[in-house]
Amino acid sequence: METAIALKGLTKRYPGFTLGPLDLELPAGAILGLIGENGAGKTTTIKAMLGLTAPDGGEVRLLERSAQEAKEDIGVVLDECFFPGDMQVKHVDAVLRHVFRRWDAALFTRLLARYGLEGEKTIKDLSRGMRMKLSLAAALAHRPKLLILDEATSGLDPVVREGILDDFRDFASREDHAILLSSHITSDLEQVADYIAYLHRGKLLLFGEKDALLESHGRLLCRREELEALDRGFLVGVRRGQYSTEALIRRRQEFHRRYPQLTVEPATLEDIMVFTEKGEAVCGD
Amino acid sequence: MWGLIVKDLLCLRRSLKVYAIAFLIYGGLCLTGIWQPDFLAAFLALMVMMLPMSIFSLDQMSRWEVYGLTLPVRRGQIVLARYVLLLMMAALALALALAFGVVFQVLGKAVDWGSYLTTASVTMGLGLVAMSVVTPLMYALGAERGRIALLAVIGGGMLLGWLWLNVLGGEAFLDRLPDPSGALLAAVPVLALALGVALQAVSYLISLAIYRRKEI
Repeated sequence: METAIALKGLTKRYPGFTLGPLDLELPAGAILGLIGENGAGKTTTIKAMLGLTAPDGGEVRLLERSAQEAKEDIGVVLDECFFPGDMQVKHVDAVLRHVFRRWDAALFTRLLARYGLEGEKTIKDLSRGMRMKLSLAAALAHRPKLLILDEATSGLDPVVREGILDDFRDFASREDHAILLSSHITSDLEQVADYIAYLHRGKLLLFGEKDALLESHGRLLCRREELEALDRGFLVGVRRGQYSTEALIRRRQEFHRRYPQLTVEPATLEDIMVFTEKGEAVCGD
Repeated sequence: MWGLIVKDLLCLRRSLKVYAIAFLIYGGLCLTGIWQPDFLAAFLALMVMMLPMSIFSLDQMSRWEVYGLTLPVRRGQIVLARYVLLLMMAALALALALAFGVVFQVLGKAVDWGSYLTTASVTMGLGLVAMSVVTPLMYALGAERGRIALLAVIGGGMLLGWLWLNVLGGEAFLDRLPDPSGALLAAVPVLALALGVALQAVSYLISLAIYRRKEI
């Protein structure tokens, strides 16, 4: 298996919002970070990929199969824990052992112990963080090859998040495993993601290897008159303050050769998002 | 599909306990002669109607529908599981009614088995008929509006029956009918249940068509 996720022209239309067409391909053994502002279409993308909503066009292939055929090998954690609140933690095992052919009850028990979850606890009595850990344990216990995680780390404290990110790294270190991680916490994605897909108003604005993406972008702090003298083709977005001006630039190496007197800091994913969404639009190439 | 039924049963644990206690209380009332055993049979049919609606509400509250569709089950299996659970509950309720009749007799109480079984099966048959209308409405409208739909179905059915009997000449029509044969009367319990189960099959196909088009 070489391709974990392949979207070809995936399109979903709602009144006033169109997702796509999205084209992207994630190789196995990699982690894809899906970023974008609220309402950019991240959850819609995941729902369309999993068949929760019918796409209006395009094709979805997961693990080189249709989504329905691949579900046995997919673990999903959504932005909430969707197990009914009256169920106990141990009941998740009682239910999912009849759903997944490869459900590993012993692994589930080990994961519960590792995450500090007690089987007798009622789900509605768990904190948000504990409920997310339960969802993650349920997603991992059938030994999936692809993890699809929608805001799975939000609401978790930094220590727990760090531990879970380590789990993700371990999971994706196997060559036939992959993860799609949708998150607002861009620092998490900078730590673990190999690829980044940036959705903006339903369109795939950027897609590529994270390191190359961060390498090619830079954050420029300069005076207004210096900015005015720049080649507009380098500029992605500009934020003008009272005393200084900031800009996100593309083709950082080339920019540095052309303007060696200007200091450009490495950009973060957050810079890329903020400048694209909040920055002053610039007509570039 | 079995996993989905297990999930529903686990969600219903609390409700089932409450219904079991109510069953024992009503059973005691029947044994003391305050209630007729037929009331208990009707109560069981009502219980069978209430349980699936509870599951729809719980699923909606926890948004299980979203998670359920990420699992390796097809939409058809999700819908079928709900109908299988309903029929399992109906069978259990009938078995309980039968067992209660036996207990009643063993304790030396007189049981009019013809009337008792007819009440149990006809009320259960009518309950299944009502659910065959309500379940697709639950899929189309959601749990809360589905509950209102159940009241509308029962109330509307009673109103139509009253109109037919009292305004549209239904009573005179019934008077003109020859007295039913003993065989027909004996077949009523089976016919009522058969009608309920047959309509469940039709209802399943309608629910499936609704659910397949549903955007989660």
